[in-house]
Amino acid sequence: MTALFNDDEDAEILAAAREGFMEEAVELLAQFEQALLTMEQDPADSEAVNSAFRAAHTIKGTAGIFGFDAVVKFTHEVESVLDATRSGDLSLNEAAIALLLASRDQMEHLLDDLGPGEPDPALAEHSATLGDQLRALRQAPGGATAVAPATPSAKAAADTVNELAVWHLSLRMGIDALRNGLDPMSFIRYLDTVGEVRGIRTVDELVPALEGLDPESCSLGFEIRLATGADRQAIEQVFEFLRDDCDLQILAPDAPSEAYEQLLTARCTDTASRDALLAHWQVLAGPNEKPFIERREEAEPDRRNNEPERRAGKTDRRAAGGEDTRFIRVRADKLDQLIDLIGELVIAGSGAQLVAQTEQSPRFAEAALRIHDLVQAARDGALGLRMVPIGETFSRFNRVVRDVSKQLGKEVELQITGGDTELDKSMVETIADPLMHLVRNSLDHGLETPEQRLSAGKSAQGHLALHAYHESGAVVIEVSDDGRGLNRDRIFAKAVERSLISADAQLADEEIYQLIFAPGFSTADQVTNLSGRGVGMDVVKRNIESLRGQIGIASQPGRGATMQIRLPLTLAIIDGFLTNVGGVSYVMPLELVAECLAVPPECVAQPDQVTGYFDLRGEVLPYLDLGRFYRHEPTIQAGRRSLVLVRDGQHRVGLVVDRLLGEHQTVIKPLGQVFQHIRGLAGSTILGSGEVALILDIPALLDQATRQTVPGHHAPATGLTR
Amino acid sequence: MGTSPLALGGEWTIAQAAALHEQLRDALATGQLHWDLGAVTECDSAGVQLLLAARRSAQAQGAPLVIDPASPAVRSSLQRYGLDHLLTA
Repeated sequence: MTALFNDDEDAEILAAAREGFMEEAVELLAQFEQALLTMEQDPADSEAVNSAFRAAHTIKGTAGIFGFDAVVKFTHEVESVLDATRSGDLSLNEAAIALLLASRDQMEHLLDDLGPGEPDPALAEHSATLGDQLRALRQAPGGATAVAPATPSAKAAADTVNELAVWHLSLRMGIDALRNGLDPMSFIRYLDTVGEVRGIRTVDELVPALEGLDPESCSLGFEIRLATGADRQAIEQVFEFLRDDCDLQILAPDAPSEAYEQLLTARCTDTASRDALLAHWQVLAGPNEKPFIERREEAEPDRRNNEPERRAGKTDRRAAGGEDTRFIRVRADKLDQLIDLIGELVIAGSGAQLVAQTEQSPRFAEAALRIHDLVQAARDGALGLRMVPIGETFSRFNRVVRDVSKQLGKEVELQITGGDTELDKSMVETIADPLMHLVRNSLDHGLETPEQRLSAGKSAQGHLALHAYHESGAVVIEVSDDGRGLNRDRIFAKAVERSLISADAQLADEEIYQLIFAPGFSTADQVTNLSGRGVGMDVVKRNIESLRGQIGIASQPGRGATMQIRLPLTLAIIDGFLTNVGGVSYVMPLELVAECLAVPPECVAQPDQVTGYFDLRGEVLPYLDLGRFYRHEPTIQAGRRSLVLVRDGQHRVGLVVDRLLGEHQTVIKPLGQVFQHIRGLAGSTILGSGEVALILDIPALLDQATRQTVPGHHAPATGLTR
Repeated sequence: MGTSPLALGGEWTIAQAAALHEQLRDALATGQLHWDLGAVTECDSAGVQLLLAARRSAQAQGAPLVIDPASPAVRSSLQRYGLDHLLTA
């Protein structure tokens, strides 16, 4: 019984760890891909090679822990190629990068295949094929001798900065290093990129005779003289992966013989091994260099000088190790619970402030205000935990653009800006698919082939840009291209053909462009395997609207098109502006409120009119009377009414309300099923007094206000559809 | 016995280390101390370590281990480790 329980528990822990690995693997594959794409552009980028190597290495290592042999075996081949590349034994051409990209996909498929059930035999076969190709790459006669351009230039750069000096490295491998897939040889080869190995002695005193040898254990040690202009940190970095599987001591070029003395004591337990190591050093020092260890008397005063050096080395190590712990993984639902809790705190805080106001106690009010400020800070902090930069999502399009443009025979350069713009993690996940569709749409329909571009007087290479930024409380994401732009007339004709509009409809360009988001709409004459199947654009719009966002289109024939997605910063809590209409509280997002005015005379001229236009300092703007729109009893409209000017991107609209109640922190609660079909409402919230307030969906209202004033458009006179 | 060198080709890597270990022990047990490593395609640290262990065993038997010929893979790995002398021994 107990055993069974333990098994269950183990299985649970293992399953959780496995899940963690899968998540990590996805990130690592992304890192790998990114590095390859960088290498494709600039083969001399040694940082990219390292990054790809590290990613492959970590995937292999972790897969090994879980016993995913198929992944380990295949990734090993990938890693070997990158290892040869980073040590300068192999340079990668375009075909090699393509092979590595294909290998990345294979790694992903292998990881996907790990679930229960039999592994896919076709997949294993593909692994073998790619594995052979990778091995062939590594053993190709040209490749083996070619020196990657990264190596000499990096070394030269290091040399010019610093004088060459000879460091001493003493390395003892951990017994499990080989078993863990860490071959010291690749690290020693990699030393070539930092400096020149002037001498190396393999310490084999601990290697037993064959009879006593465990062939998978490692008993090797190395004493290395390295001439380099690099610093200690750079040398340590070479052995970064080995950190847990080796004991590395680095002695600076000016290390006194006392330091060597200490090393000797640390390394050797008996006189025999002491003599052996001294002999190694003798050989390394050669006849011209002075021996590492001199007479003790001379060395003594240097002891203290050497201390800081050693210590500095240690802190470096810890700092490097600290990088791993800078991030912690937190379950998303824990975070959601925290945000919920803070939401309740916000409501309770508003309640306290309300009490303070009614009690008319200045000290209480002051205390409540202080709490309010802190709650606000805590709210921002908690929401910040969920915020992630969009750059990661953007960067995966590098591969998409590369692959798709090759497939279509187009030349496309992807430009990414604003990648550090942050938005809610859940939104990042939801937005990835619509973005993918928009990017593919641009590649497929927007951008022309090089010949078409040249004959249109444009550069052969098309440009696709992903751009993100914050604007008035929203995150804006733009996908733009310099292709042929949207064909207004063709969209119009298609929409008439699909009876989405009548043939005599008068529509602005923007409205016509929006038609491509209608369900079942597609203008592609030929259905390709990428897009143009008529599904997608409506789904794109639905996805974006489910995030309380909108999508807009700007297009110039022959010059290109821009799809602009606007998303709210967060889904949970907003700074609201509280108003009262007909005794009901309405909240609008504070960021969207531009100004508050007394109701202009135009809005009261006709008592039954829901919408119309008014004059704001010479500018004509639409207005919407919320009391009439939601059919509140006009009798309660006592006292001075106000007009709240709200803006949404480029557009502005005035909303007529009964009373202004001021700022309010608003925790967004979803509307119940019954109310979901009411227009212009984004959700509800609970006020400090316990009353329910309704959150206005400003973009939808703006749409209503402008649409209802367009003549000839069949819009219902009321916001309620029942 | 011992007239023609024993051919030990293939991969001298961690993946093959266990199998290779068996083979080398058999060779030593039968006194085969002249090895032909001309067909070795790959040689990593596990391979080098096997050679070092084999040399130690041979020394215990009072006979030198002769490696001739050696493939470029073996040669480059031994060079990398400053163990070229294993080849001429």
